Amino acid sequence: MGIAYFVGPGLSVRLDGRSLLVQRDQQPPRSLELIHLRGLALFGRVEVTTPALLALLAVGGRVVMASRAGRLRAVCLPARDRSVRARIGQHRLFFSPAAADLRAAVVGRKILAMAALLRRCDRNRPELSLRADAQILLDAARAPLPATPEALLGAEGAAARVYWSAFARAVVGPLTFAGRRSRPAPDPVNALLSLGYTLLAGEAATLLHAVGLDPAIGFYHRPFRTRPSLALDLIEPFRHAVVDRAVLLAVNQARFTQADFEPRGPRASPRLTQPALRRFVTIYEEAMLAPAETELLGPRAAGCVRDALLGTCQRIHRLCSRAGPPQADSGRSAA
Amino acid sequence: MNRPPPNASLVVVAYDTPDDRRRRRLARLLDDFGKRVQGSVFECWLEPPLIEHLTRRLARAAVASEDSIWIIPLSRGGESAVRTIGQAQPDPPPPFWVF
Repeated sequence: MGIAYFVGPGLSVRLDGRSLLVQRDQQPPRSLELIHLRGLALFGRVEVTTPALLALLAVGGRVVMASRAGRLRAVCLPARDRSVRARIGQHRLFFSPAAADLRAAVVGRKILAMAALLRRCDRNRPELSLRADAQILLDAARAPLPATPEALLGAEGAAARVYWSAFARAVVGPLTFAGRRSRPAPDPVNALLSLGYTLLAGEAATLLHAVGLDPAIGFYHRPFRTRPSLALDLIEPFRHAVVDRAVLLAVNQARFTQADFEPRGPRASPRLTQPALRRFVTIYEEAMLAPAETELLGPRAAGCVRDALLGTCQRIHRLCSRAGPPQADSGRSAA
Repeated sequence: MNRPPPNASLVVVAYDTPDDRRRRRLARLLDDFGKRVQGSVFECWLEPPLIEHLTRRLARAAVASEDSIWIIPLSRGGESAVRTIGQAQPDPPPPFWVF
């Protein structure tokens, strides 16, 4: 039911009956009941024994592995029967004219989420004068979006320029933010945003795998090697409604300072210290467990934010399933 | 008391059986799902699909003509109405862990 985050190095996880025993260095181990675990998120060098991994997978848990700096490395899922109908339907949709509508929907929801966050910031901090920027984005989201991928990229880019300029004005804490940049993130605020997006994308990728879809075949984010393009499509509104909002609050409340980041030179993002990374994943989890707000995530958002992400994944799955051959999961010919 | 996970609710399972082997089997089964709070009473924090799964497992392990099992799910948030005397306290798992 819950995710356990492990920030290495110095951590080991082994199986003990129906529990996992977690030990940091020589400290007394702590016990986690398998029945309460939805999955593990491992950052850096964390030793997990094979029996522990297999026991977690056997109860349906998933494992996401990232580098110590937060770059997604691997996803580990149970090898279970999954619907192949949905995957065939996903491939069909990708090549169909309906993909254009899906692309537009991704961008439309993204821009709406940007507008909603700025509107919320404006209500809380009217002195920042964000209302006009929010209105520009709202108008852009409500207008008919262009049909071609290139024009959609342009529309997204134009919206992003307005959004990030306004977001920068909303950052008033001790850390500075001049605008969104990544690969590498040049400063702590960008590093926090990138880390939050990585966590979101990792969750979305495991959800998509679990329902039998291919996270690499997206509609708006074009397939590119192993990039989880469909996961990136899925998380677009959540980037702003959840991660940006959580990072903004944390930075403005001075929950992170420069001392929480280790510089790694001009070609790498600054890296959070171990205690700061633990603090960040706590903030991220609290954001994902908070009630999903329809103002930020749209009218179909229900339950907590994580439920809303799952709901979006399930809708994509249903769409792809409808496009797939009904007999695909019966073992008979899929033709 | 920890804030429980968002979709989990408190489920109290109480069982009685005249057969020692079945009693031990039921206890082992319930150990995988929750915590023993009294001799034949377990406190479990479960999401709805797991409640169904547990019910099916208990049904397979019990002999209906001889055994008696109560599975009492409280509504979400219902644990706040639970009254205890002495050392007992509902003990939900946290919604997440950070090591």
